[in-house]
Amino acid sequence: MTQIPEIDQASVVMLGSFNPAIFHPAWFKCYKLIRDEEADSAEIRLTSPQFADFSTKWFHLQVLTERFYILTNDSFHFEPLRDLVLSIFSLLEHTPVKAIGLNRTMHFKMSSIEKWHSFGHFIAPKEIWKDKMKNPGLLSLVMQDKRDDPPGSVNVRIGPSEQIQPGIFFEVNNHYDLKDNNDIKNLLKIIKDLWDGNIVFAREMAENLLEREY
Amino acid sequence: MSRYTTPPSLDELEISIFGPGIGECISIHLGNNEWIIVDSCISRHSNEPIALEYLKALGIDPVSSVKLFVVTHWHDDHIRGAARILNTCCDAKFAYSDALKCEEFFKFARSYSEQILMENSGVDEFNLIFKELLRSQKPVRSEPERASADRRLLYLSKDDNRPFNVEVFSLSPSDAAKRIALQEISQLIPEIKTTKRRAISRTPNYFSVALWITIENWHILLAGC
Amino acid sequence: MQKLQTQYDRSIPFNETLGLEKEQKDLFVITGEPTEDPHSNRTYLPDTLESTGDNGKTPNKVVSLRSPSLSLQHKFKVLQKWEGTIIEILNEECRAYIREFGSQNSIEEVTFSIEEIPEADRYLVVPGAIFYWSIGYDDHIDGQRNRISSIRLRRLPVWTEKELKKAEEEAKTLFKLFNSE
Repeated sequence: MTQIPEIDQASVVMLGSFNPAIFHPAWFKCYKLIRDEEADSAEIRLTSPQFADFSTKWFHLQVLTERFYILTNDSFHFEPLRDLVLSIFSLLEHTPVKAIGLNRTMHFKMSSIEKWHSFGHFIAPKEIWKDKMKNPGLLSLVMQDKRDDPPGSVNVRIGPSEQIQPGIFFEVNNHYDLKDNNDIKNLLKIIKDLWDGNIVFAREMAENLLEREY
Repeated sequence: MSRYTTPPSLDELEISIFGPGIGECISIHLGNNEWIIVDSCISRHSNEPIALEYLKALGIDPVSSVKLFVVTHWHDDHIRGAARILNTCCDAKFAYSDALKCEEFFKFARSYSEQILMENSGVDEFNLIFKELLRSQKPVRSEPERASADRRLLYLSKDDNRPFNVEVFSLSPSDAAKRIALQEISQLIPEIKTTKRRAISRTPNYFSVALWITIENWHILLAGC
Repeated sequence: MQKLQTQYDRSIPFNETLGLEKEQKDLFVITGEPTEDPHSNRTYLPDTLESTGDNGKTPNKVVSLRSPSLSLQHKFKVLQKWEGTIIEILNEECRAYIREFGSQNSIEEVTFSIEEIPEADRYLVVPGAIFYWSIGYDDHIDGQRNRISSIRLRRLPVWTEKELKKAEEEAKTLFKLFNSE
């Protein structure tokens, strides 16, 4: 049976060269990238040439001079998040970007504490640690798979959830390296063509493990 | 598709209708292992144009066998995969509606091209068709035929060792239909600072091509819709 | 006016709507001394915010901010999602094609009242406009569960003068090429 995650978050992280001063809700409103009401009611924590940070009801944006983060916890808004990133960078077409991560993080509730322990033991058997540790426990496991085309990697992090108890989180980072910092078309193509598949892949990755016997 | 492995015999007429899929498609055997294809849709199994999948299943080489390929509409929903048929059937005559040969249609189609931000603009396939036609220009491929009222698109003579005389005529669009079609195309051309959207065809019949096919004493009417 | 606590225990006043005061232009954002970060190429969300200031200079002011996150007042569970295209609007009713996400099912035609669309999106409702339709649950932190049917118009950038001029030029070229007889 397909389990629905208790918390389901999608995010986009970019490395490059950004101008945080642009990222004010007023700019988003001006270009109709979000609803006027969303821009007007945005919670602005900081906007400056070095740093921008604001939230609306459904996304949080944070921009530094070398990093761009945007995320949503609202699975109703995964595609609008993708559209928003596409729109931002089709407007800011001269932004140099050297890498992008299309990410999904899911927190699943386990049916019991025993199941939670069993899962932890299943992905990280404790026996080999018990020679030197009294009571070893899994905090975080990271697996990486390199990718040639497009170049990059898939990084999957699993661990106990701090927000759902007893729960497990799966964080799937699809990392893409961009050979040409100034090839915004390639960047947009990656987001447009690969977003849906990555969202599904992250889910399948989690299900592949959760649906096994443990 | 695996059921259909026996091709029609050389003096046998066959009409095959495919769909619904993403669009619809008709293939017609004119005798003598010569075929025409009308419109296109994509096979859910192979993701290939269904007409090509069908011909290959029969063991027929589409490159040499397809004599005419007609596209009766502009919208993706009716012609998905058409560019691939053009690419494969490089010796076939190609015909499309004369209503689409105006500069306005080219402007409309190109406005919706390079839609980095969305799939299925509505004119994706026609933009691929343009690309394919440019790629395979003279001397490789002859000029596309203008399909309009009372125009013969294809004639195959019995004198050339064929079992039948074959004629394919387009019956539409008429001049009046072309005028209305032109009005719709002009309205479809986007204005500056309007939000990008898909192209929707509101009056497809004014563009569409109806075909009349005569094979000896048999007559086939394919009405565009 | 709200105040932020800095690493050096010095408050920096800031205007909530306009950002920092003008004299804060040389602010560097940093949570520690600039160091070699072996994971500096990572593109997943950080647990802690780490950033070097511009050109790695020692900061004269510091702001410590939490890593990006969203509050968990609500948990959303999507049951089904569709993407749709508006075909026609007539008498406050919208006719549209919809296709379920991640499904090979064919397109369905639906009709719904324009009232289903948030007012903020209604100006976008034209033939060809694309929308998302999702149904699911919104679980509030206080335990209330609401069933949601949500339509959101897709916001794409506008057609620019540059794009339409380019289309016009390409059209002229194609028209000449295909009408050379």
